[in-house]
Amino acid sequence: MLASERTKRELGFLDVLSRVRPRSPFGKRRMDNLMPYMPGDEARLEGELDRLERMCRVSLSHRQEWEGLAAVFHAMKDVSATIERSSHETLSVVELYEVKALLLQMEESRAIIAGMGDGWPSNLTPAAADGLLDLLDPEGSRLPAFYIYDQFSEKLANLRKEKKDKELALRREQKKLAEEAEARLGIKLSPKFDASVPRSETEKLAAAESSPLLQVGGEDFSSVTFQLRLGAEGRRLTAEADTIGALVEDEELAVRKRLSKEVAKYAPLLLKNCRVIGDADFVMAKTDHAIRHDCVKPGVVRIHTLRLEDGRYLPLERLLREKGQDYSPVSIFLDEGVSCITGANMGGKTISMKLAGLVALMAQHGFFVPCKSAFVGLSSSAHILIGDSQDMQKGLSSFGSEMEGLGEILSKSGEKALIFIDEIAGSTNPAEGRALTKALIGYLSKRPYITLMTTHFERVAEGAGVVNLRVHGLSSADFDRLSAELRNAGINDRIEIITRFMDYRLERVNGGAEIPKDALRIAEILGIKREIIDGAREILEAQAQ
Amino acid sequence: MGLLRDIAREHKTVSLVGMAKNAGKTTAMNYLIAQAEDEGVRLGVTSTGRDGESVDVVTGTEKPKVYLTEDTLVAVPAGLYDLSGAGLEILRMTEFSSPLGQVMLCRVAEAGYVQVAGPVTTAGQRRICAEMLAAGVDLVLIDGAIDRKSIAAPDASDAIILSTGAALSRNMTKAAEETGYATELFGLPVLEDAAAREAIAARPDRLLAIGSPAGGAAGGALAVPLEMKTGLRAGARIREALAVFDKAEAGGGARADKANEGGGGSRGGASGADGKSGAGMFYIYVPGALTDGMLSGLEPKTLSGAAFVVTDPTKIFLDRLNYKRLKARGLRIFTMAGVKVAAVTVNPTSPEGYSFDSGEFIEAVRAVTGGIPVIDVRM
Repeated sequence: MLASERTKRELGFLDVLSRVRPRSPFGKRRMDNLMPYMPGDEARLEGELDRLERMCRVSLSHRQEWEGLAAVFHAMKDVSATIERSSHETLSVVELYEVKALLLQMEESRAIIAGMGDGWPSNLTPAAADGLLDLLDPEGSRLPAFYIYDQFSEKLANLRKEKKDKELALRREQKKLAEEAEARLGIKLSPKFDASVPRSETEKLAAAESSPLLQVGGEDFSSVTFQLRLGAEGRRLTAEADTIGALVEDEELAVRKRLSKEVAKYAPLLLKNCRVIGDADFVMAKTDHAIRHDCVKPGVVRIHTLRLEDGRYLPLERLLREKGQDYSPVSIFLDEGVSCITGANMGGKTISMKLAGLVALMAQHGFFVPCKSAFVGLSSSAHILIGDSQDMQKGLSSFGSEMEGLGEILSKSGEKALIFIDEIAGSTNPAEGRALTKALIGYLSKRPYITLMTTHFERVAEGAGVVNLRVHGLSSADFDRLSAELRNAGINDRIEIITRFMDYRLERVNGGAEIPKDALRIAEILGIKREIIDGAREILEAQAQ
Repeated sequence: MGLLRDIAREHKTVSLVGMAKNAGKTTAMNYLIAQAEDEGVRLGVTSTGRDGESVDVVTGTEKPKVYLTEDTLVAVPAGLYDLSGAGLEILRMTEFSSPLGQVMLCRVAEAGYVQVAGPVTTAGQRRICAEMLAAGVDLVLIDGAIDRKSIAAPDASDAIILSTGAALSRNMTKAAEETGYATELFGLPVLEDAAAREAIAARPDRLLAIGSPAGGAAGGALAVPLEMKTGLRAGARIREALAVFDKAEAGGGARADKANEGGGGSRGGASGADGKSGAGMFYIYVPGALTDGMLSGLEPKTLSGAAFVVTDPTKIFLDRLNYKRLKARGLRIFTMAGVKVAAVTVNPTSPEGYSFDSGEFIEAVRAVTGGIPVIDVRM
């Protein structure tokens, strides 16, 4: 279903997504490209939900393997760009190391997945790439280390040995010359074959300056630094070592070229594995989320409906848990037409409305839902109209921005739309506001939409295709206990106490039943002056007569 | 037996710290590495982050290269791998990033020159050291800060090797004395008074005036935070606090210098806290740098009334001559954590084109560094 970022945010779906955490870069990319299932996609969605159900079973029965696999995914690095480049460029040693590390991680994943038995969906298993791994691991150690090893090329091994021999011979030659210099001139050279001679030692200085064994490397007012001068033999060895060094580099490059071509051959398989791992990782993250938040598999039905039993709005449930409180679940049954939630202030009307939207969004994106049970008929789009502080900052009046939003929703909604409207026209004069609301309900009730709205206005939810859902509120609360508890409580505690006595469940009321007058009761409980409360009651009674 | 063996026996990680820029740290590093090879000590080599030090990645001029032999473990960022003259086997790509790419743990497969650069953070540095030690090296050598005042965190390694040289001053005596002064600061006694330590640990970010009772029992110290919005005000607050301590002493409390009598001077340890004197102690705890400005204008009488406490020796930014003068008048400083100096390396040649007589310079440095091994890195 199509939904704007704002709708996803207001309905709490983005909050839920922020708690779904794939471990690998591939899983994160998969999640970034998350697409909803549209009407007509029912069979595909059912397939995805079945797979998720299977994964829940695997996760619970193979806890240790599951955690192990998650850790392997977590350590993966996205080298797909390197793999793609391998076809036309020579990879560096660091890049080859990274490809090898990924190959080992893929192999480790395969081994762990094999240990989880038949429950694991076969299309979530990366394919084997042993041939390439063998090539990149000539020692067969299966350790995530890499170097242009001698085993890659006999020629390379020989050249390296030759170079080392030359260097050792050069070193011996230098030592020999240094010993000669010490014996003849009495000057001891450092391990780097240099020595500094104080100018005060004129004889030594003169001998050093005239000796073919030494050359001046630097001088200052107090001393002269000499370096060992290489003889013909030393120069020859140096030149040879340099020549061989260049050949070693050429051969290393040749090996890298060869290995890069091998990587390129495997590129399609490796890139497909990256996608498979992304899928597996994302499904695992959804599974973890479902288990952690006690979510169930929604039933997918072919009629446009949304029915959830004992649903929990996850963002609020989390807030309450942090405070050590329980969330009281709400059941909502919606069909095409308009349903109005009415009832007490503080009765959770807006949260119940958002809950319906969140469940629909989660189900249609292939997630399990936070309910006891749920049935979802797919919607083509979802929209929410709700007061937003950001609009205020843009300088729009609350009524102005509300009407702008309503206009947009009405123009964008098509068949099978899902619309949520929160307290529309609450900020304008009640007479016009009520009229506008009632007319809007009349308009929407004739459309092929599921609409859920909250309202304070009386007698607007009447007529064919309009369902009135009322919050139980405080109607069945034990008022003696409530007042006893409130007597000595501070203002912050009072709100919490009312919350505890509030019954958030919705009941279906036939016809345009009267809206309960809980507002005055709550105002009274929260300590508004008696005089004002009594005044308000008198006015209401006068109006009624 | 050898220098590196001795060091490896006592410490697992050692930072090489320069006395000043160009003091010859790279020369010292290369010397120590060569020495380790001769002694058969297997090394791990890493370096601290180099924020602020200009590095030319292309020519590598500023970034020191060290010659590493086979089987040495080394930290190299991915961006410098291809510039390495040595053959490096990549063992692991770490999660630590550096300005030159992710830091990799490598094993030297073919000896050669390597540009070393480890993780930037202290925590990262500790992790990579631990990994190298776990992989079997005898000692990790950290190419540390370029001058002693910029050691980011003294606790990143077990000990330091202080690298000094002719570059410090054209005057050999002065160069030696600056080095001696640095080792004296590193060797300042660690505060042992449990009551005072506890009071500081409770408010480590505040300038504190602390009165600790005789015996220094835990929980017994009275610490008063001194209001200090800026470092400039700290000096005035310290003067006020010392004046108060002076009065308290007149009213019966013991002066810290008396309490510390018999302790054998400033190197003698916190004898005032051992309870033998039977009198209490006064301390001023300075949370950041202890500067010349903070101690200016103090009366000698009040100066000896309390001991100063700093978090570690690198926080002391007192001019050597000023420190000498104040010490003679009774200044005493304790540290919360000390820094061990495992050795001092000297380079008698300055890159500015002058040099000292190696033997004389070493003797001059030995005379002022109290028994710490002193090595000429040019030999």
